[in-house]
Amino acid sequence: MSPLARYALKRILLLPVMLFLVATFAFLLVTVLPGDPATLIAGDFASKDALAKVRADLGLDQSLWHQYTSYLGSLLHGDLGESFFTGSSVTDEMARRLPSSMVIIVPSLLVAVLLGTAIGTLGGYYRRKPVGRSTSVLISGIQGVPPFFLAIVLIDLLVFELRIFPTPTGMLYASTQRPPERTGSVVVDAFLAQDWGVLGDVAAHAILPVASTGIFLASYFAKTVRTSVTQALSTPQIEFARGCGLPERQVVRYALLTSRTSVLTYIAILFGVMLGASAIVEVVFSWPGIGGWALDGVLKGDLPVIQGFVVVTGLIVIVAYVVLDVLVAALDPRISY
Amino acid sequence: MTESRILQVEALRVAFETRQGTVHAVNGVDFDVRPGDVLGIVGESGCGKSATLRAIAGLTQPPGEVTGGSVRFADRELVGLSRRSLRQVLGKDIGFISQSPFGALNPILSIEAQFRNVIRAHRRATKRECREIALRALTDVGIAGPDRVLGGYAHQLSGGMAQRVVIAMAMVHDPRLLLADEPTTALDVTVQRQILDLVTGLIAEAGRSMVLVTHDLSVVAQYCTRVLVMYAGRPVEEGTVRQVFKSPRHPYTQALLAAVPRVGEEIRGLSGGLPDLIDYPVGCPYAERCPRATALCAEEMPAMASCVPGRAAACHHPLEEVASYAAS
Ligand SMILES: Nc1ncnc2c1ncn2[C@@H]1O[C@H](COP(=O)(O)OP(=O)(O)O)[C@@H](O)[C@H]1O
Ligand code: SF4
Ligand SMILES: [Mg+2]
Repeated sequence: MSPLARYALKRILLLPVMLFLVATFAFLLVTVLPGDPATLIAGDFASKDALAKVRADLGLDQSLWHQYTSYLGSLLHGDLGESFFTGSSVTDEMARRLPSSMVIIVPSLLVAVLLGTAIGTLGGYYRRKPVGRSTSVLISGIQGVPPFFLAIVLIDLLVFELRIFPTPTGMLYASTQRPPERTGSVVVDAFLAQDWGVLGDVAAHAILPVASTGIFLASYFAKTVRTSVTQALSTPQIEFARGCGLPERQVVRYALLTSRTSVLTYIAILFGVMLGASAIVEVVFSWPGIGGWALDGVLKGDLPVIQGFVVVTGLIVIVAYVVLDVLVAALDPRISY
Repeated sequence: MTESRILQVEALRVAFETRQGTVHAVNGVDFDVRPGDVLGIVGESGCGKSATLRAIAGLTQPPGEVTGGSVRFADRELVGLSRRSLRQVLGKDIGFISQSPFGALNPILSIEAQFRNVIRAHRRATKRECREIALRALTDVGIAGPDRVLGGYAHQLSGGMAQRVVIAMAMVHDPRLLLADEPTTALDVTVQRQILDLVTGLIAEAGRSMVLVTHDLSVVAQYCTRVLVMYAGRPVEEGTVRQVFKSPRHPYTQALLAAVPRVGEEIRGLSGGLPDLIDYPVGCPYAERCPRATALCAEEMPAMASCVPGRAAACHHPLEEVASYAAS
């Protein structure tokens, strides 16, 4: 086995341990949250008997240890419990909503990386020229505008004034013929049915949320790329490259190579952040993702929803970090595993 | 006459804009390099050796700027050339080697990929041709297992090996002039000598020329044909190595030579420091430290004056020539 494969395997074998820690964290988080779930469900004026019944139904009359082990047991079977309020399975709900969120998050990150790298490279390369200075203004400008505000401006201009994009009311047109339901997620079902019409509709609706999120996230990539390109350009490595007569585009490429690791790291970090923070954009565009749903759960104190959300996003983020580590190791010859 | 000079540097000036003010790092440097010359530029740290060398290669980085003078390479003016035109010359006719071999190599690309980029910067070549050229270049710099080196990365090389690779890259297009900025400072002593033997050997072989920046006078004595002594961004003495070492005319050169420890001798450090490069002195920059200084020295800047062609010193009260040289 190659050293890299061994390293990857080692990281993957650690996954269950980390998942266990996340699951435990989610459990503890929910137990320390203030408020009594039974009161929440039965209402403030419920009788003692009614409350006791709800408690027993939820297993809250059992010892904390018992609750913990049965929670882990269900988790092993992929059961994240049911929402206190809708009674729907949290697992099903996540499965239905996660793909929709990914339709925004993944392309946003892609846009952000490309746009941010371009802006950051220009900024670093022309840091003493007007072009470079204007990129600094651009970056801080973007960072100063909250993404939802950008979203609202874009909606106003491009949807209502110029009528280029569909109204921000979810992923589909009212008239869109939905694909046959198999997984519950419209996106995945459309894929399975190879229904390009539906996917096209989703794409049309995704452009604005992706653009507003992507532009905002781009500022972070731009900043880190600008910093590392600026630094790299004054290194002996670049001096030698120029001394050998390499064309400037190669010189810039050399400088960019050094920022590869920080860009990858940012992708993983911002991916995690977006999983947790996609709520606002989802609310603005009425997007049926996990963010808006989880926010709703948090506001209502819907503990299984909160718990499930923490476990699932935690798991995804951990996997993303493992992928990141392996990728960084694979791309940098200096790292020995 | 001009044709015999491969490099002519005239009144070269480099300044750095800093928050404290303008640092006058190089203040009117003149020298010529002829085919076959190995010119050593010596002086204390901070006297502008690197700044001079970078200015020649057009590699001055902001906040530094070439503020005046001319650099003619094979009768072509290099100062003010666009990066695009300059890059046609660099790596092809002029090779450049910097101080730290590990700093110079790209840590992420394989040695072969870097060679390919350097080769393709100046000529068309297939991957296979590039490989062959690189293998030959590595063999020329005394690397025994060039295959292995080519497939590897910078961090897998020892310092001496890395510097050999750098030299091989810098010389892969057979440049007529090699600029080297303390190419062995980062290496241990035995390796230093091997590398210098190698480079000067390659230079002498083909009648090429070299400018070698160093702060080590013994390196100059052993490897250079001519020497330029710099102080505070100005040339203070120039001549053949024999002339200057046997019979220094500038008090600073004399002090430098006296500071070189001989076997069993104590290092006599130079007292005092460089003058303020921001508020540059009007008179001789060495006056503060000079045992021969007079009132004139503090008032008037001494110009480089030659007594014999190719031999000059910038001093109002130069040391006497040793008789045999005065006669020649
Ligand atoms: N980036 C910079 N910013 C400000 N001053 C600099 C910079 N680089 C060099 N200098 C100044 O220029 C002078 C000459 O530097 P350098 O050419 O590196 O000296 P040497 O190579 O002889 O040691 C130094 O005194 C230093 O203070
Ligand atoms: S000019 Fe005067 S101060 Fe300067 S080196 Fe000569 S004697 Fe010394
Ligand atoms: Mg130096």
